[in-house]
Amino acid sequence: MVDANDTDIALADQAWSALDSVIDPELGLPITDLGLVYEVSVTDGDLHVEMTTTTPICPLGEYLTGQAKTALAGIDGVGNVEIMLTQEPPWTPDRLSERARRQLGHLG
Amino acid sequence: MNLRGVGRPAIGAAAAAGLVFGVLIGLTRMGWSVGNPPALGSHGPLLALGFLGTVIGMERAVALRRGWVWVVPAVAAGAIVGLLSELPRWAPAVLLTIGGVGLVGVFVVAHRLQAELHITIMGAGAACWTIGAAGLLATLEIHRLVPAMSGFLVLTILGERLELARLIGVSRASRLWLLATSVIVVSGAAVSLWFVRPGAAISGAGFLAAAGWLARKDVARRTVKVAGVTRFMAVALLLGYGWLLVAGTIWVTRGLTPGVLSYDAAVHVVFLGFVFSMVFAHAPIIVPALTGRAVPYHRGFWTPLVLLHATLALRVVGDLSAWTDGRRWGGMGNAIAIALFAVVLVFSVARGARRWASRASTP
Repeated sequence: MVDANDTDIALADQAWSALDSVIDPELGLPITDLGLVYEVSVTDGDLHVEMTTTTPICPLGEYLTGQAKTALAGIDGVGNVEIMLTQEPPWTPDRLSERARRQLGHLG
Repeated sequence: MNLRGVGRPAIGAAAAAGLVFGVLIGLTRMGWSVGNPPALGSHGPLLALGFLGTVIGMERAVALRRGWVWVVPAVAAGAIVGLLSELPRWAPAVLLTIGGVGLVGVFVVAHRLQAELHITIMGAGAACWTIGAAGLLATLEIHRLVPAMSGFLVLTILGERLELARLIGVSRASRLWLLATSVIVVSGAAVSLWFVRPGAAISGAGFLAAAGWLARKDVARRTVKVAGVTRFMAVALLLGYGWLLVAGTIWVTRGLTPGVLSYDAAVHVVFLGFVFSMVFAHAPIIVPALTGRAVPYHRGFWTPLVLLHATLALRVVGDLSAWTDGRRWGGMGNAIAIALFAVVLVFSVARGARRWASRASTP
């Protein structure tokens, strides 16, 4: 028997996979690899995501949250999807994944 | 103040009017018969501070999600209406000065959220906007304001590119270089109000410094390898850096002297070659950010981009060799490229909406 907690954990994994499909158009990289997704939590099938932009003056926040919402709403069995855009803590390049660093040829 | 419902479309419409009439005025001044547009003396302020000031102000307002930031694009849009209505020059100039000061304030707030150099550089760009608007208020000749209006856009873009360059690592030497570049560009803008020959040379040196860094360090050199919209954007950016190098060279060697043909080249290599190439590059992501409508990429984006750069080259050759027909047809080609890009964007938005509708209707 699968309890509610196992279902939520599986849903969180699916959410991360779905967010992999949201691509920053300028860099051609997923928002997950860019470290823009701070948190994914699931409660009774409802998804709560906290994400950011690389700078508070980036106008892509609404666009990326819209894309993320569309991707997450496509997961089977998902309830409400809530996405919060935050600048706390501010994004830094330390959040880049190894894959993103390789692709960009990070010099730091 | 929530302007989203009515305000955004109204501000967007004013920006579009600024672009359309700005281009028509430019063509009229080159001797083309394209109706009888108003405000023939307002070509530069209308496009550089009116149209681009409004769009850049909207970008910041969408990003920061604070109602008061909408004052910046709203007053810039009001200035477009004022310029086109041929109100006394002080009225749009006051609005533009408020917009410039407001944008400086936006970057002060943004810097509190993230204390980074790219925000400081964009704030220096906003200071250039303010200098240009103050010059307009003081009824200075437009050519004295060109370094300020250019500086606003060059530093805005330089700050945006530095922001992205953080993803590949920015050395301390680069940071110092860019800080010095910003100081030079702002100084050139200020000096030009009184002494335009040395002021333009100072700004030109700043443009060379900016273009040199962008051409060598920008992330576009890497993203150009990623196919699709990412490559389109990178190519448009890299072409723009080339034109900024040309601009810096002309400004340092020939200055900004109205009435001679090289003036047309000096001004338009910056505003069309660099700035409008940036506009083309960013439109596929800025339009969705501002309107919420998807702009699916397609190969048609390349046609206006190639046309813009080819016809600008024709215009500059015409300017520098006193070949009047080359200059005029180059100018017409520039206008057609901008119009064609707008058509391609609208087509793309419609295609995105159709795709969305067909997906939604699939059982």
